[in-house]
Parts: sequence; C-alpha cells; structure tokens
Amino acid sequence: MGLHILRESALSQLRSNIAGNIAKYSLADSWLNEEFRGSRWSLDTHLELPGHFEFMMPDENSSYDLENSRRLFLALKDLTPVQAADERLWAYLSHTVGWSYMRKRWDVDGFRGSAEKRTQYIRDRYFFMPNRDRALVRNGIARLWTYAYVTYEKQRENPFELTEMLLQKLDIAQQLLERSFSRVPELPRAVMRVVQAYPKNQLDLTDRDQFRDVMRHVNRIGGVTILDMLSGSELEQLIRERTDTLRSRAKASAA
Amino acid sequence: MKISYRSYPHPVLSYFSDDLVKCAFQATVTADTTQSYFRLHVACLLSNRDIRAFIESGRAAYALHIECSATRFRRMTLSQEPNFSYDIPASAVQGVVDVCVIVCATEHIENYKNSHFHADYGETRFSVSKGDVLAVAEDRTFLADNERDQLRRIPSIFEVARTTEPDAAAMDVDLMGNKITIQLRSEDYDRYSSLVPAAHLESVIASLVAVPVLVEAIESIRSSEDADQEYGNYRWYRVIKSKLKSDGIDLASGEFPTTTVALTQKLLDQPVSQALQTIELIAEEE
Repeated sequence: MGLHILRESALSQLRSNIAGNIAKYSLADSWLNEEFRGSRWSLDTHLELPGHFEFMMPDENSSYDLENSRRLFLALKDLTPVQAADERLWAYLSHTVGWSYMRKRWDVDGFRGSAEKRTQYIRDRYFFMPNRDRALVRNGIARLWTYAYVTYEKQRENPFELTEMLLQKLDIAQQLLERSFSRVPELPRAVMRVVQAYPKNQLDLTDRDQFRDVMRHVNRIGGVTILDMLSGSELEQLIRERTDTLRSRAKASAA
Repeated sequence: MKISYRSYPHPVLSYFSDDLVKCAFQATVTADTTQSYFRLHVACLLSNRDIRAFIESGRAAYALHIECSATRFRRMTLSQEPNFSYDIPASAVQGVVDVCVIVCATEHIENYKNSHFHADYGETRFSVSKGDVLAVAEDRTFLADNERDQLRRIPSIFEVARTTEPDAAAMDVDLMGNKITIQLRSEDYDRYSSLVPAAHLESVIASLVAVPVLVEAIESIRSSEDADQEYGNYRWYRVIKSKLKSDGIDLASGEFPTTTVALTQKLLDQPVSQALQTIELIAEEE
C-alpha cells in the first residue's frame, strides 16, 4: 500500500484548528475527508506500508508499545532521518492508519485538564510539539518508530531485545531519549545493555531514581568527554562505573 | 552539541579561558551543497606545539562534531590533518546543524603537561581520558536546506488555512512550521479560495494577505536574540534568509538597510505597485 502524507496546507489547517476540532478527536472514525470537504488533503510518497499493517490495540492489560514499535519499525525500517523527522508523515498516520490506535492509546476523552491543556495534549500526541528535538518521542506514532530505531540491534536473535528493556517503564524511555546525549548513536543501546545486565534483586535500574542517577552520571561525563569518541563497550564501562557504585550501596543498605 | 563556556578538570585550549596562554586554536568551516550531500570543509590553525605533537603521534586528533536536533542526527569524524572534509548525506539533516571543531584525546594520556599552561597550574600534571577535549574552537551552525523535499516538493513559503474557532481574528499568523501559515476565518477563507484562481487579482490578494504576514515574520526575526536557533528548523526562514543574502542582506548581522515594510515589498516583488495598477485598471473599466 502506497504511503501518503498530509499536504502542507492540510497540516497547517489541522494544527490551526485543534481547539475548534477537539470534539472530533473523540470520534470513532477518521474524519479528514469531511474536514477537507472532498479537496485533496494528502500526497503520494515513494514509501510503502504493507497492506496488512495494523496496530495492536491497547487494552486494560497493556499498551502494547513494544509490539507496535516492532511492527511499525519493520514496516518503515528504511526511513532516512529527514523523512523520519517530517511532521506530515506522522500527523497523517496519527489521523488515518493509526486513528483507532491513537483513540485508545492517547484518549482525549479521558484527559483531565483545561481546554488549553487538552489542545496542547492533542498537538503533542497527534502532531509535533514546538520543541522538535522532543517531538519524535512525543508524537503518538513517531515515538514507536523512534524507540525501535535507537535500540534495534540486527545481530541479536531478537533484534528488539533492547527495545523491550527501554519500554519496561515509560519513564526510562523519556528520561533517556529526551536528553541530548541520547543522540550519540551507540549510547541508548549501551545504556539498555547495562540495564539488562543487572538482575533486579541486585540493582533495579528500571527504578526511576536509580535510572535518573545513572543519567546524571552520563550527563556529567558528557560535559568533559566527547561520548561519540567511545565505542559501545567503552560507553557500557563508563555507565557501569556508576551502576557498580549503586549496587554496592544497595547491598550495604540491605545488609 | 554546543560547547559553551565551562570549566574542565584539566586545562583546555579555548577561546573562553586562559587555561593555556600565548597560543590559540581556530577553525573555519565552510559548506558546499549538492542534491545528495552537504560537504563541510574544515581548516584548523593550532599554534600549540605540545598538542600538535599529540596529534602527530596519534594520541590526539582534530575532530569535527555535527549535530542536528531536528533529525536526531549526530556524528563525529577524526583527522590527523588540520585540513579535511566530511560529507553529510542530505537525507540526514534539515534546518539548524550545530558544528564544532575540537582536538580530543584518542587514548588515555597520563601526566598531561603543556608548556603553555597558565602559570597558576605550576608543575601540575593531569590525567586525560580517551575522548577528553584538549582544545576547542568556537561553535558555529549552518542551515541545511534541502532543495528537494525528501518526501515531496514544497513550492511556497506561505500556506493559507481556514480557522473554525468562533472568536478567531479575521487574520492571524503561525510561524511555527515549515511554512508561514496565514489563518483566515471560515467565510474569508472561502472568499480567498474563490478569488485565488483569478490571476489578475494575484497582487491585490498578496498585498492584503501575504504582506502583513511577511512583515510580522521579518519583525519576529529582527527581534529574536538568535534567529537561526529560533527559526532555523523552519523552511520559510531558510528561504527568506537565502533570498536576503543574495541581495546582500545578512540576517545574522541585525543590520537592515531599509524598513521591514520596504524589505517585504522587495521580497514579494513590489505587490503594492502591482495591486494599485490592477485596481486602477478595474476602476477604469467600470
């Protein structure tokens, strides 16, 4: 199935009218044809989405972020960085192919807050937030692709093993990927390999405070050392300098 | 990555400190653009003999660090030579690209001593780890503007959109996107849409709709502390900057030779003159 994107005019109109269209974000079906009254609102691209592609629907048990990351990344594995940063693509998917998924995962009805906050919520999840750096991990569809993109390791038996580590808790994904050092190509994988290496009974790096401690450590080092110079294993070693300390402390407290 | 003023645990040759004296590290970076890549040419000038010796022995290297926050692209390339080039795929960057040139250690250096250390350091020696900065030149940015839309072609910097908000102003503007969005109330948008096909009215419509919006955009640029940082990720800004540059106007300098109104008329090819001519013709025909 050929993949479309929003026309710039359609994107502009939808972004401008979020407040006026809030009620439409509760509709069961995508409403863009009615919104644009028969005029062309999307464009062909040279990209393809498999005809059978669909998102797994979140339920009370799980958001299925991992499975949806896996499906979306495999479907669009060859996106270039510029293509992957294009709001027209992700806003299109949020409002069409991913509409039912978005309704479940990022329900607007259940959002508690002022009308202004609700507008901002829709903007951040269905479009791009003004901070373009964070937009790719906030948009409801783009974030799925980005999580897989930064953690995919094709040489593993399960190439999404580190994606699974990242998505254990949403806080970890956000803590890591909203920091500028997460753009060091090898760093997210190195962090996840270290998280994986510690059994939770020794050191639970999925714990918010522990993980933040490690992120602060990496941030401090990154202020002096150019992290891009280090290999994956060297980055792991650097992270373990801190996690070993945390484990010793945890052990001492338990004793 | 921007390397702004900071204190390092060891002396670093930089433009913002006197850790090392009577020496300097400078670098120029220029960019050539093709359809498929941006080629950065780096020329370094390092007047510190001790750091040069580390580079020549392979214990340190010149490094070019590139980062584009909009696309999350980040790379570093090393060179043992002071003049080198690096190609960035056009598919990897868009908008503001931060570039910095540094000298960093490629291996651990124990007992680092430099004959140009500030006297305050005395005989102190330092431990330097692999990846640590030894010298840093001033940061710079370049704007990566892909001529080709990586997904589709974008012909214009303006987009007119209908706003359905009940209390909306007759016209408003949104600068936070790749195009400048002109927001019109529903009934005015319908009128605009019906008038657009009338080619002879193009300058009149431009004067009414595009001119005030472009004035707003340029005033926003002028009043910004760092327009490249604030708007560099948006294509409309890069187009305007490029057009002004070809007329010898440097946005970054903050010095504009004319008023914003005059500048806008120039950018849009004098729509007010054309509009008045059109209106004159219409009046004559009546």
